[in-house]
Amino acid sequence: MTGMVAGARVNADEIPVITGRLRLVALLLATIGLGGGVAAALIASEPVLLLVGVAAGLGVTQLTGY
Amino acid sequence: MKVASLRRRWLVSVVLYTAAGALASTAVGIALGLLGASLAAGIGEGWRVPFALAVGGFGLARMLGAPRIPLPQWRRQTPEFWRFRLPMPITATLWGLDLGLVFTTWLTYPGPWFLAALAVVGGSPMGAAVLFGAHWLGRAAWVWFAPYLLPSAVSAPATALAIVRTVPLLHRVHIVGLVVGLTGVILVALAGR
Repeated sequence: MTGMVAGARVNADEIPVITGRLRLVALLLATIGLGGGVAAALIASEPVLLLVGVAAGLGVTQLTGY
Repeated sequence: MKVASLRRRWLVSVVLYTAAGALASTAVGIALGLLGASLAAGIGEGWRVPFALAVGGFGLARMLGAPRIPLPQWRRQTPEFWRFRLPMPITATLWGLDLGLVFTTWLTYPGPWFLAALAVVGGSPMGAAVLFGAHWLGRAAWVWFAPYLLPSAVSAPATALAIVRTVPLLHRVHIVGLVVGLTGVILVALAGR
């Protein structure tokens, strides 16, 4: 099924597929960032590493705003 | 042959985008770290933890629906005409430099201000560079997944609509990030005692 949005042709069938992939990648990247920070901080007993993971995780959420 | 050439051009563009943004973001981090170091020399140390907690707390309250205090930001987008007038690798480099500066384009969420506070509070140019470098890598990681995210070469309009549907998840992840970050600030403060 196709439609037009703002003058561009959109294949509506693709939207749920891409949405699912975006959610999967968002969770994957956020887990790597935040989870990696937590794990690194625990392993190295260095809480600053937690903040580096937080920085990466917050960066992942900046998908919009270009 | 044509597809291989396009792939090579895409890869070069993505590498340049990522590298340019990392350069700009680490420069922002270094500048904020230097600012923090000079502030510490001028007004002492006691303000550090309360300041970081206040900025992070403001961001978290905003994300949780507190009265909509405007997010301080430069309401600007990267120039789209670069895409039409310049070769793709140069456009990608310029986009990376521009977006890597973090505060020169639209901010969707308050997290970058929390990171700026952490960079200033830390007072270490190297530490702040790592912080902003990590933030950029998280942001730039999306483009590396583009071949997976886009089912076809004409999927961009559908992707724009799909991104809108993904915003609630990104919103929740940002809240988790701020909570973990605020916890981190408290842990770092406790560890420093």
